[in-house]
Amino acid sequence: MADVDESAFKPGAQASEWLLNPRLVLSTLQAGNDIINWFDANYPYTSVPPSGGVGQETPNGQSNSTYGTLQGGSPGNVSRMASFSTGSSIDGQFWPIYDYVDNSILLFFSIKTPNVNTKAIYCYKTTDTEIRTPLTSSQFLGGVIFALPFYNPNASSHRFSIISPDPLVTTPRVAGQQSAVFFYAYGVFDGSTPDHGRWIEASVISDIHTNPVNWNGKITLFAAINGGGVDVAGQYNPDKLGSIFVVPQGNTTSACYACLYNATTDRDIRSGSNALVINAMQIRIAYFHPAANVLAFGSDPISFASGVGTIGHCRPQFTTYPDGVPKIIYNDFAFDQSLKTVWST
Amino acid sequence: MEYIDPQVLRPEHHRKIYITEDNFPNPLFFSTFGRKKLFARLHFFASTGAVPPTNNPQNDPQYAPVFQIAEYDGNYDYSTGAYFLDNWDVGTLVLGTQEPTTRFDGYSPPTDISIKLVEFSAEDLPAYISIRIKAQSTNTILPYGVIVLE
Repeated sequence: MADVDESAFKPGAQASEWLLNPRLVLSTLQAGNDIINWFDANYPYTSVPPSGGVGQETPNGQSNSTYGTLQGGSPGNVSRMASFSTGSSIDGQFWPIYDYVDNSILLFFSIKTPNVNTKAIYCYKTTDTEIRTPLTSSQFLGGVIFALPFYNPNASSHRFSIISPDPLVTTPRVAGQQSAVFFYAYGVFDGSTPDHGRWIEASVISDIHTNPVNWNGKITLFAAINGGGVDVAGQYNPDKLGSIFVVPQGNTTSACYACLYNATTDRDIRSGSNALVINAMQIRIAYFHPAANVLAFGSDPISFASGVGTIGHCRPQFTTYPDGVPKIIYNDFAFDQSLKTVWST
Repeated sequence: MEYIDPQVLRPEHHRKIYITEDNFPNPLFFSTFGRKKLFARLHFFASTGAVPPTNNPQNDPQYAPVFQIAEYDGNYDYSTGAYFLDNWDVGTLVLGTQEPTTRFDGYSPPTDISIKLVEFSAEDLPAYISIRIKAQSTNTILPYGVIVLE
């Protein structure tokens, strides 16, 4: 996190001239320990002792009256969150939300999970809206639960994006509550290719203030609830969800929420193989139309000018920082699978 | 980073808009995003019960579907029940057919599910459209497919 001095920004300026006071929001080790401790408290191991730590190998079918029953044929595992040596599962996408009811910040983030037997979305809450010190265990709220009637109730996919409050106000504003809109992509494409999501859903929540991690009973709209929207008839499998923004009403019935995401340029149909295919990534847009409660997808990707070392783009974020002009920040994806944030001004 | 005209991000900017869901509600109610042409490819099966094709399909049309394509001319607020779109506009009807008793290779179609497929297009669309699939059978119909708006 950093402060932005818009008046100091000019094309070609060094980041240090306008990006001030950079500070750590959350360390991956902190998040890893908090997640494992939370798992150990809410889903204690029952039949077989954990091997090498808590929160590992969560048995299939573990139940919790608040957070739901875990499912999936394989043990869940959040153990690699706990150390740098085994590699963090933090996905690098954080969705901070200003909670205007009590002047705090909710930080939603997601981790990659090995299967549907683990929760992927977690939340911290801090009353220090400047986040002057890194987040700690006392600010950790736990795993997010919302019921997906078709697939799984665990919110086990890291493909997740949220904004708040709901900019189109489809849910009336209520004192003491704060609405939100989220997109969620999940499922395993072709049943054996976990690298890219199978479906996308989108929802409006009436309140994330009262209990930020339990959304059950607060979902007022849920598009593609019966199974999930498939982008452009399933041709482009969503990899990462980017930021959500609102598309105001134009001359058509088009008022909707738009979510940037990136997807492979070709249909990923590796039946029986889970090896990662290096494929170009394109930035695409999904639209959640709240009046009709329907999810729709634009046919055309957004093209960026890029060099020969780049085969695709991912992690798109729509922003007007630092100069007030609309832009998309994204990562270049290279042949060696490295990522480079494209921020060359 | 790339500066971008926000108009590029609007749904109107795309050559086509796709609506797909796995599976659709029935009826399906959607915005046309100002588009004037629609192409639909829908297939479905009954949620319960095996429905094998019979040797007398002309006498047993329980899964010969009727597609009602209707305009909703009223309050577009989802919360008032526009979604259900029962009887304000009978709209346009598209008739499907009973599943054939054999495939082109002479073998019988699968009998565990009864898949129907229909394709149709429509032009000069209103703001909101509903597509409802009905059949003589009272089994719940689960439609899949894609709506392409141009």
